[in-house]
Amino acid sequence: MNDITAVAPRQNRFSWRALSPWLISAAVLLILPFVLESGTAFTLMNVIAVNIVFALSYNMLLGQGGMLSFGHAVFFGLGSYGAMHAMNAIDEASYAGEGFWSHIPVVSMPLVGMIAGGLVALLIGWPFCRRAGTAFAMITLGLGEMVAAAGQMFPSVFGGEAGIYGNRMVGPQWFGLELAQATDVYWFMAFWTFLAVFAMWAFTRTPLGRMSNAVRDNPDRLQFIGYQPRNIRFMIFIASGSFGGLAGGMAAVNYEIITPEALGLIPSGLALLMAAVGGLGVFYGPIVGAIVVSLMNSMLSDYTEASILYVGLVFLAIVMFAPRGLGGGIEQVRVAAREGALAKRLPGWLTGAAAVLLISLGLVLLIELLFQWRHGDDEFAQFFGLEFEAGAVMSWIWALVMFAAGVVVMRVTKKFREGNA
Amino acid sequence: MLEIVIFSTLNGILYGLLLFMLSSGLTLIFSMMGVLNFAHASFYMLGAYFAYTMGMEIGFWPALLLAPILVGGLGAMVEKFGLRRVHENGHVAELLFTFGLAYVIDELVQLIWGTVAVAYREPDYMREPLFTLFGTDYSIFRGVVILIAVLMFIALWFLLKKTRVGMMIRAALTHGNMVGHLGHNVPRLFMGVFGFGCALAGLAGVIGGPLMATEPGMAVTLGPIVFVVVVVGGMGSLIGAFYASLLIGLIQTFFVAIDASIADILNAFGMNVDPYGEVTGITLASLAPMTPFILLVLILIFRPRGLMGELEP
Amino acid sequence: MSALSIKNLTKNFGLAEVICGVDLEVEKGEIHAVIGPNGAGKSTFFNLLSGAFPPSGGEIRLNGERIDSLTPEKIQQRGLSRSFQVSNVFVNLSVFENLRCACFKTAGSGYVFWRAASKIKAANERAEEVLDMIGLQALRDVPAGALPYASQRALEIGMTIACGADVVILDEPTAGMSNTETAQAISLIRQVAEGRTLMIVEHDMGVVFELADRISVLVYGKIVATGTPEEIRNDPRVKEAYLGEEAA
Repeated sequence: MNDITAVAPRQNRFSWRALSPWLISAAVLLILPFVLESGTAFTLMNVIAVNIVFALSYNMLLGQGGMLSFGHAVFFGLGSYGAMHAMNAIDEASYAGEGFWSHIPVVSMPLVGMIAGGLVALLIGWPFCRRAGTAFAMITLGLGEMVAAAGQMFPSVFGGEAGIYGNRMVGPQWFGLELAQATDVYWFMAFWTFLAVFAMWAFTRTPLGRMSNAVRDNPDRLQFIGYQPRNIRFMIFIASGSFGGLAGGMAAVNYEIITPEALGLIPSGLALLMAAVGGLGVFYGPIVGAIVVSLMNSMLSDYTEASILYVGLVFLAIVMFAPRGLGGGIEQVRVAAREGALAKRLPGWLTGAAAVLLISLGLVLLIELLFQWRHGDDEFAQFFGLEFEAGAVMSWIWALVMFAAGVVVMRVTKKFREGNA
Repeated sequence: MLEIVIFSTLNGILYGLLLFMLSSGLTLIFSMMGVLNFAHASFYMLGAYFAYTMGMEIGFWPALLLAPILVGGLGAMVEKFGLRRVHENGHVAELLFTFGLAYVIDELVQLIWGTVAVAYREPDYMREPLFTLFGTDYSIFRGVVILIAVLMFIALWFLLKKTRVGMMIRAALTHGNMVGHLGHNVPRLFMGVFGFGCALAGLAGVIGGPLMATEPGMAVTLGPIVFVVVVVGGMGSLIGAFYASLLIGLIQTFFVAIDASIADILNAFGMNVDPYGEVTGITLASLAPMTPFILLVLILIFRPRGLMGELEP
Repeated sequence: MSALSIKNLTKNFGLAEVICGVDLEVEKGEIHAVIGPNGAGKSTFFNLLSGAFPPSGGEIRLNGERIDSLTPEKIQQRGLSRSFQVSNVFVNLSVFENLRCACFKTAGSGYVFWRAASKIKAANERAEEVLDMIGLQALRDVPAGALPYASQRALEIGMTIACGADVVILDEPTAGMSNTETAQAISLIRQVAEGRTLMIVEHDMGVVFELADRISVLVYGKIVATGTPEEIRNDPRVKEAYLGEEAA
């Protein structure tokens, strides 16, 4: 009989290595406000925080549970609406000086959102979870569209097209947070983001979290080890909806307004986008995806009119060529580093990256030229500080040359990647 | 009252036929390849825009012929260079790909044609009334649309029932894997079917564009409804898609036409309900956009295989 | 009382009668093999036992209780567990995790989300035991989808017994194995059989005759013979079924 202690599972041993990502993240969160200076940077950070929690909550369904949903924004939106109404209730109660809501601080709104999201999932989720796959995707699509349409219909709840707005500087103020400036809001965001990320990570380490992976990998087998797949799916649905609602609560405090648009297909699609770009198979994938997509959405629009197109193209490229996403790529590098194969793989990766860069540059120039040609006020496309005349054939040729060069580099250096795979 | 019924029926059938043109292509693609083409409505949009641009140069009827071919060709290219690559990563990856494709096509259309609706109209002579009933005109164009749709079905029926290709497709409709094992050139068949499905969508766009406004949001509005049709009809069943299209077309059109609120209906039954309340004031017309999705959720709960389907999705 | 008692079991798919009245008693603690020519209905038979679909007629009793109308997970909870001919594991989870997942339910923490999985002592210890038994400790962190074939089959058996069932049915456990692999599988199956009742479907006659206490022969949906390996070896009906009338 083997000595069981000699093969103790790795998870039980306390290791700095396992703790380090959390420590580093906490450190980054603490240092960031002293590094950033502009108000816009803080605003961006707050948006990223909401999106991180939103994308991670979505991945509980897709990456971990194998359930593709097109209606996740329902939980986000309803959580946000719940929090918004709560904030208004706090406002009224504090003004009147009495009542249940006068004791509730605004910083707890994410919890309100979480409860709202979880409740919605609990009430409506059971019939949906019978099947995963295409049926589930379609039913969530229908649900999302239904709720979005309903959002236009009940003005007292949803505020019509204009939505409902609130004020976050009301009620009891905890930890001295007035929530007036973006910096105050940042601490609120940082706290809730860290907490939510940790909670979702811890969930993956529980039996239910493990079983969610099992139901993704092989739902049929589940019955033969004593489970109904539907039950597991339902519980994941509730968990995912709760955290989606939590993100909604964060958003309510940040934006101080919520409209029915937040319930529809577009934000649901955004969750999918962020999770897929970041990588569905790794826990931190959606975090990376949320950061990258949020940055692209916000910063690109300063330089180009086609920012949304670029985000879509990145998504397509990842789905086609790097289906494990950015997170999958990072894991590849990490595994290679751990196995000592980094030196061997690096040339292949670097040349591949160079090729991708060339191809992207060519495409970007092409799109910018296209835009200038069709809609431009002046005739020049702005391309990284250089100006290209949309009317000149040479510009288009440059674009095609870059694109072709990238393809050639990709082909030529292919043997680096294949030989060392 | 009769006027409303007659015109709603006519318009409902028209809308339903348009939906069927779209959903037939989607059903073919799904049955054959197992892919739910999220970008299907985007190809519909491309058909409208292509016809608009070409029509200005060469006229409506040539554009009617060429635009779907162009869209179909584009679809075939997408299958060959895009979808095929993703195929081995599974159905979810394929869905993601078509989802991203829809996104990108929508943005490209905005890039090229702008964010405002373009004035894609039927030729002037087709705006003349085909007949006039109760003082309302029913334009020739609408009649032409119905005619084209009907011709399309006949052609589709002929293709499926009477040709060898059609036989392969029908076999693939219920037993997709087997077709490959029987020795047919599956990649080429896939490319052809995908292209053909997109061409059908493009054709729908050519005639739907003037009817329902040609603007960049048209794919996002119509897309989900087409999915509802396919699921409600039963995935893999063309006849089911036909019935579901007409059903949804008629229901939605009738709801839009009826301005009665819930209160009105309840009061007609003798109850005394406040007509201005938030819930009771909801009119059937405002419910209209939701009706396809309510139907979808109900079907998926109570009869998941749809009206005529044999396989559960 | 027999562990498994099957009386007049029938199953029709439309007009096709696949199982045409099977009577079988499996004694507690025995290893009972089911053999038969291809197409005899062995897979269907196992599917009926494990609840994958309901029978058209007849009854199945597990330790005296009827299970023929129950769903698979209820049958599993009553103590009957099965393995699959085509390995049916959780491909992205490690070997250890696969085993542990099979242990959560019996450890009483099936849906727990407030404690770490690694802290569920009962499940972890049991998984370690099974891991040891099937001899895959060296591969414990390898994703199940990346295992070599024989190891996957061993994991398959491991998962079947991890949940503590006392009646186990194995569906062609040595299919596709080499001689050495088969020998290892046989010793594993013997270990598994201790304290349990085992029913095996097998094509490899060597395995069958070495392991089985009793053998039943299924031909065209009916049991034509049941007995000890010696009796079956000499039974003319069996020879006829396998080799045709002339050889009998």
